[in-house]
Amino acid sequence: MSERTVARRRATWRLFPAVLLATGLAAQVWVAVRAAARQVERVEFQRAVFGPQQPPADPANVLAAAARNLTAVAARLPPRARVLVVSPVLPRIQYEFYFLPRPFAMLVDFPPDILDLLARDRPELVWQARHRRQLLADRGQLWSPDRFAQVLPQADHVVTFRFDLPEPERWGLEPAARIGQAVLYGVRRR
Amino acid sequence: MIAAALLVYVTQCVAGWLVWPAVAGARPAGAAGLGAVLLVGPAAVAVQMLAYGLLGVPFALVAVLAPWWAWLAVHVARQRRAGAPRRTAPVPGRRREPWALVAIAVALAPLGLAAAASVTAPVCDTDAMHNFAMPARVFASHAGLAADRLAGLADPGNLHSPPLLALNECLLFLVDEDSGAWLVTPFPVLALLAFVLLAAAAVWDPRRPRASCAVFAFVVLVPELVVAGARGYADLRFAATLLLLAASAGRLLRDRTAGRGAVAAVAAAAIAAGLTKAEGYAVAAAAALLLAWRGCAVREQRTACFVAVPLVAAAVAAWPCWAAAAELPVEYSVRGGADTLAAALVALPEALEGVLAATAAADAQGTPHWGWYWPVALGLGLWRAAVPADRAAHWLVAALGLHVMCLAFATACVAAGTGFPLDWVQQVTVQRLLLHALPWTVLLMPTAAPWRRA
Repeated sequence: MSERTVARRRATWRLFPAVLLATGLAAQVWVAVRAAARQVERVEFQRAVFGPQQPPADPANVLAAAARNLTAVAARLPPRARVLVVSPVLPRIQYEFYFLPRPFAMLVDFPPDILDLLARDRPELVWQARHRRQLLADRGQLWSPDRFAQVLPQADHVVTFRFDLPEPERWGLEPAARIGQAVLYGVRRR
Repeated sequence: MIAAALLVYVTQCVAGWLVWPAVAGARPAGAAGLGAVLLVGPAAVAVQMLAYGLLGVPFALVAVLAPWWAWLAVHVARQRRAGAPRRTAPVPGRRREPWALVAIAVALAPLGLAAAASVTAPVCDTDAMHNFAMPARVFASHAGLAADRLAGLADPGNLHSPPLLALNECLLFLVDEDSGAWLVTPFPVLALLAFVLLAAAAVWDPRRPRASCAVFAFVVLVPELVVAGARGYADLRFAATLLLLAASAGRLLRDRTAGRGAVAAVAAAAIAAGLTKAEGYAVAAAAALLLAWRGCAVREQRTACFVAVPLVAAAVAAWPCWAAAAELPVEYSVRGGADTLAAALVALPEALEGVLAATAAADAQGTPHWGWYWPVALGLGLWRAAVPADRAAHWLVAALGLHVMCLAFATACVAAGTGFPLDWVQQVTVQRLLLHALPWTVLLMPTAAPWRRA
């Protein structure tokens, strides 16, 4: 092999990272532009659901509704009031976050039918859903009228979020406010 | 309220600006210094608050912020008394490199997008809420670590997650509890800024500005960085801390005469990593081993190393020990039908395949992730390893390979152990774990610090 050939091969070898990088950079710019477009869409969506122009009750996005409605409900409660929240299982919302530092309890409506629905439509999520249901059951947080009757004496106020409480008068609950998808009840002591 | 929140963020930077020179022995300068300040500051505040919590000192804004401003006042007064020049005189005839301006413009794009995405929504879901904002609000509302309340949370997240984010976010909930969910959102963007600054410092070769600019653009145009910068997870901050640790460890290993500062810089970065993510425990342990080995091998650094090792161990172990003593609930432990080592090993090939799939330009929903970053970066790394003169490349490629294998194994464990579907793990967990491997590949870039000609 002549020296010239060796030198040419070496030069080509040295060019390799530059060529690879240039190709990668060109492709990366294209991907970055696409990602930026999606990010702008996301910003616009977030501004639409969380922005100040929206009414307090925003049914378009449950998390936004929770952030708005529950903050407004918490503002009506005394700082030491004991709160009981009743909600459906989806989506997972940190209800306690909005009511701190008040003593807090939670009941979650998680009917077993949901597991059947998941087994049919999203079987890959069944294990996790079953695990979550078991955790709620172990902590005594699964909604049932009996469980509600047991927990209610430890609460001063009941808040439901996206949940229709059956016959609230039967439990001695007085509706105090409805803010968007949240309903605040006062507990009448007998 | 905005002014008070700004004061919190500025204090985190002041803490970094004071602590970094105190440990590293040099005033923070340039992109590397600023990046270090943005990472070490919150870590220092976290250590301070952890100490307050363990000693029973109530969390209050004045109690946390005032010591840093007092230290700053003493520092400035000392400097004035010593007659130190206020700023370095400009070098005559020096002009700003146009390629540096191009690099700054490129960096502003992801930073601007992440900032816009972060300030248009409060923290309300995912790990940002369950793992960080929730304990942060508990700390703030109870003015302390509040073991009983944490242990009794109705819906505990991963409370064993290291507390750096939660403790720093706690300060913003102390500013205003109700608006705290909005005030904490810039915190991850600062992590993105730190990463961008440290990446610039790692790949910028002043003698090759055009090539450096191309490499820098290639690194920071990864879509995953913007996503991570806006979502409030700890992974991007952890990746930036790994970059800082790599730079500090490189300085320590290259220079046998490097004094106490080089040792302390490694220790500070290791503590920051250990307080940021659970994976940081392994990183801090590796850094402690490195320091212990260095202490045995180099007589000049022996005392500093043997002081640093127990300090790293104490700072990093404090939270998990406290969490175990307080019996905080562990909700997301690995369990399920296949939680054995054998089951994870069986799932490993599929997980490795998943890790490779996660490096593709976009997922099934068309969301751009890493683009072409990984194929190109690994190609560059292999080229480096093939060049006989680049001895350091073999170490870096080996480290990266090991890291990717660990990542695949972690994926296998998560997928096999928790019952989550593997494609979900690839789209969520792997994307975040790949961020942890990113610093290795930044160091493999053609203009990166390890390859610069003297």
